[in-house]
Amino acid sequence: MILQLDSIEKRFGGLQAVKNCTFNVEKGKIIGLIGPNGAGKTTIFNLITGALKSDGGTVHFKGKDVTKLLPHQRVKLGLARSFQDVRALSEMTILENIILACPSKYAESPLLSLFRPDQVRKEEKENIQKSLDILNYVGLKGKENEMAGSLSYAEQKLLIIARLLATEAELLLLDEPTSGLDPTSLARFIELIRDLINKGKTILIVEHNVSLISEIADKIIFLHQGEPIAEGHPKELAKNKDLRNIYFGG
Amino acid sequence: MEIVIGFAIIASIYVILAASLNILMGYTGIFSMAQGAIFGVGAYTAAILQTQFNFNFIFALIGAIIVAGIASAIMAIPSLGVSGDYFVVASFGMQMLLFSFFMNLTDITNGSAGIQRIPRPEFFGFVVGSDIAYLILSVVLTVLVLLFLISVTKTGFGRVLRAVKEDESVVMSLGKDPKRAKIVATVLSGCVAAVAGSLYAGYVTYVNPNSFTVHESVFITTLVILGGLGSWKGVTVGTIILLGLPELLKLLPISDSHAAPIRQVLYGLLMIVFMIVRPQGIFGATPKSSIQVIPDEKNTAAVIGEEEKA
Amino acid sequence: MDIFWQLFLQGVILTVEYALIATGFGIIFSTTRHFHIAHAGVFTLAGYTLFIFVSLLNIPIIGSLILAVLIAALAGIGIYRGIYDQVLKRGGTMMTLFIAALGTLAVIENGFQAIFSATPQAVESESMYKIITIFNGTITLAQLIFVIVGIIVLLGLQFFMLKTKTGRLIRAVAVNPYLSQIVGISIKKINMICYAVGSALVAIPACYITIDAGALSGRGLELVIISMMAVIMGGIGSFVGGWIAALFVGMFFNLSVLHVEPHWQSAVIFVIFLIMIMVRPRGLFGQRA
Repeated sequence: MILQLDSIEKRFGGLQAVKNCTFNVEKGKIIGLIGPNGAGKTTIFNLITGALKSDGGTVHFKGKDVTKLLPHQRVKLGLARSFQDVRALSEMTILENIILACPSKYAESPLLSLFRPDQVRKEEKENIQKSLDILNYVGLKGKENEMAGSLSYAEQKLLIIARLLATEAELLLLDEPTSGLDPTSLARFIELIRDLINKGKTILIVEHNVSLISEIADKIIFLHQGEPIAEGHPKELAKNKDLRNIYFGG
Repeated sequence: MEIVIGFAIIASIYVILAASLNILMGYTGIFSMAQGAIFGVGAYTAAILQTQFNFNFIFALIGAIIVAGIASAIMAIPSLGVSGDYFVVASFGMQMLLFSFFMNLTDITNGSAGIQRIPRPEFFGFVVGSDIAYLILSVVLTVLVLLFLISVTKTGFGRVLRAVKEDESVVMSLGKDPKRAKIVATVLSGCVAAVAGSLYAGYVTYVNPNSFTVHESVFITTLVILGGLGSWKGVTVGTIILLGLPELLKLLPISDSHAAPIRQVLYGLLMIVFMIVRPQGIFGATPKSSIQVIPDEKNTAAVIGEEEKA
Repeated sequence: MDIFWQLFLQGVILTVEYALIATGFGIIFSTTRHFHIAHAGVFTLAGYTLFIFVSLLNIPIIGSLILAVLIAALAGIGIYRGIYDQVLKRGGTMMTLFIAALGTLAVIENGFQAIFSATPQAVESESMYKIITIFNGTITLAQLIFVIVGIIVLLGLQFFMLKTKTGRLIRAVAVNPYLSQIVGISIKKINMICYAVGSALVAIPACYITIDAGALSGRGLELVIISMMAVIMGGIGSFVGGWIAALFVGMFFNLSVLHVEPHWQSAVIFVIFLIMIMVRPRGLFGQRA
C-alpha cells in the first residue's frame, strides 16, 4: 500500500466536512474518488497533501507517517497533487513552470549557488533537458518559451501533468484533470494517464465523469457527506442503485 | 563638478538600496516598510565597528552585512507565515523598533547625537579621501551588487521567488518551501542594504537616527515603484532620474525648509499618478524568463540568456 | 495612590484615542480590505482644519469641531473615490492601492508642513483648557469632553452596526464581499459610508490632540500603526476586540511608565504584537481565515 488513510477527519466551524475517512491506495493502480458535489473530495486531497491539517487520524505514505508534514515536504517524499483550477504560473514560461517542479538542491539556497556555480549550472542544464523531454512527451512540443498564461485550456491541463512528472512523485493526486476537455484531448489524456501507470506511477483521481472513471479506474471509492461509503470495482458500484440515487438524486 | 560627483555617490548608494528592495518587492512580492531602518542597521554597524573597534572598511562592511542579515531574519521569521497585510504592519513596527534602538541605545549608538568622525575607507595605505576616489569605490560596489543580484535572479532560486510572488500554493504543491524562500529573500535584501549603509557611513562620516526614519523607507519604496518593480533598469536609470528631478527644484527660489516637504509632495503626487496611469513604473514589467530555448536539430540546445523587457 | 489615579485617567484618555483611531481604521479595512495608510493623513488634515477654522477664521470652537469632523469624512470619501477607486478601476491590485495610499499620505503630510512649517500651530480656546478635578486627579475640559464624546460615539457605532440595516449590510460585506455583490448590495456605496464613518472617527482624537498640543503633521503615522496593531490583535472585524486591545495599549503606555522607560514602550507593544500574530494570527475575536 503506497497510501494509507486512517480515520481522517476535518471540521470547519460547525460543518463536519470529512469523517471516518479510511482507505488504502495500492501501488501502481488507478483509484477513483467520486461523489456528489460537496462530498469532500477536494478536502480529502488537501488533507492527504497536507494543505489542510486534519483534526484526527493519520496519513501514511510508503509506510511512513506523514500526518504532520507540510505539503512541500510530502512532495519531496513522492506525493504530489494537481489543482482543479490548473493554477499555471501565467507570468512564467511553460518551460519555467516545469523546471520549477524539478527537484533541485540549489533552487532554495542562493548561498550554495554562490559557492558552487559550476554545479548549479550543471544541475540547471540537466533540469532544462529533463523538462524539455517531459514537455515533448505530454504534447507541448515547441511551446517552451510561451507564457503559461497564453496557453489554451487543454494545453494548460497538459501542463499540469508535465509539472507533476517533473516532481518525480510516485503518487499523483489528480483533481478533476479532464473537466471541460473536448473528446480528442480527453482521449489523449486517457492515453497519458495509462502511460503514467506503465511508468510505475500510482494515481488517485477525483472525477465527475463517471463513465471515464469506470473505464480507467481499478477501484472506486464513493464519498458521501465527507465519508467513504462504498469501495470496489467500477462495474460493481455501477450496479448499486442506492449509490446511483445518492450521486444523481436529491 | 563637485556637486555632480557628490550627487553620483549618493545616487549609487540609493541604487543599491533600490536594488535591495527590488529583490524583495519586485521579485518576491513582499512589501516591507522597514528598509530605511535596515539601511540604518548597516550604516550604524559599519560606523561602530570602525570607530569603536578599529575595523577597516572591508571588515566593517562584512560585519554590517551580517548584522543586517540577522535583523532581517528576526523580522521575517515570525511575520512571513501570515498574510501580506500583516507583514506590512509588522515591518512598520520593525522600522519603529529599530529607530527606537538608534535613538535610545545610547551606549552603543550615541542616541540622537549620532556617531561622528567615521574614517574614510583605507586600502593598503591608500585613503579614499577625495570625492572622486569615493565615487570610484561606490560605483565598483554598486556594479558588484547589481551583478550579484541579477545573477541570483537567473538561478533556480530566482525562479522560486517569482513563483512565490505569483502563487505560493503552487510553489508548495511542486515541492518547494515558499516560507523559506521568503526568509532568504528578506535576509538577502537586508544584506544588500547594509552595503549601502556602509558606503553611506564612510562618505558622510556621520550617522544619526534621523537619516533612517520611516520616511526613508517610504522614499526607497518610492524609488523602486516609480522606477519599475522588478526592473533592473528601473533600479538604476529610474533611481537616477528620480533623484535628479528634485535637484531641478534647487534652481527655483524656494527656501530650504520648504524645499524638503515640497519635494516629498512631488514624489507623493508622482506615486499617485503612476499608480493610476502606469502602475508598473517607468521601466517596469514582469521579470521575463531567464531561459530561452533555441531549438537545434536534436532539440537539445538551451541557452540561459538575460531577457528583460524595457 | 494619587499618581496611579492620575496615570489611570491619562490611560483612559489614551485608550479612547486608540479606540477611535483603531475602530475607524478597522471599519474601513475589514470592509474594503484597502490598506488605507492615508488614514494618518486624514488625521493630520482634521487637525489643521480645526486650527484654520478656530484660529484663522475665528469660528466658535464647537462649530469648528463639527466642521472638522465633516470635512474629514468628506476627505475620506474623496480619497476613496478620487484615488483608490481610480487605481482599482484600471486593474490595480491591493498593493498598488497601498502605494497610492502612501503617496496620498506623503502629499497630505508634506503639503501641510510646507504651508504651516514644522512648528505646532496652537488652537486658541480658553474654555478648553479649563482644569477639572476628579477625585484628586486633574484633567482639562477638552479631555473630559473628548472622553465622553468618544465613548458615546463608540457605543453609538456599535448600536449602528448591530441594529440598523446599513450597519448589518456593512458587516455582511465585511464577512463576504463576493456574496454581497451577488445579492446586489452596492459595494461602492457601502465603501463610501465606511470611509466617511472611519474618517470622522479619526477626526475626533485628531481634534482633541490638536487642541491639546497644536496642529502638526507627522503625528498620525505612529498612532495609526499602533492602532493597526490593535485592530489585528483584537481581531479584524471585531470592534470590541479592537477596543480591548486599545484599552490594553492605552493603559500599558501610562501605567507602565513607572517600570518601562517611555521610549521603550512602543518597542514592547511591537514585540507583543509579533508574538500575537505568531501564536494567534486571527487575534482575540477575529474569524479564522
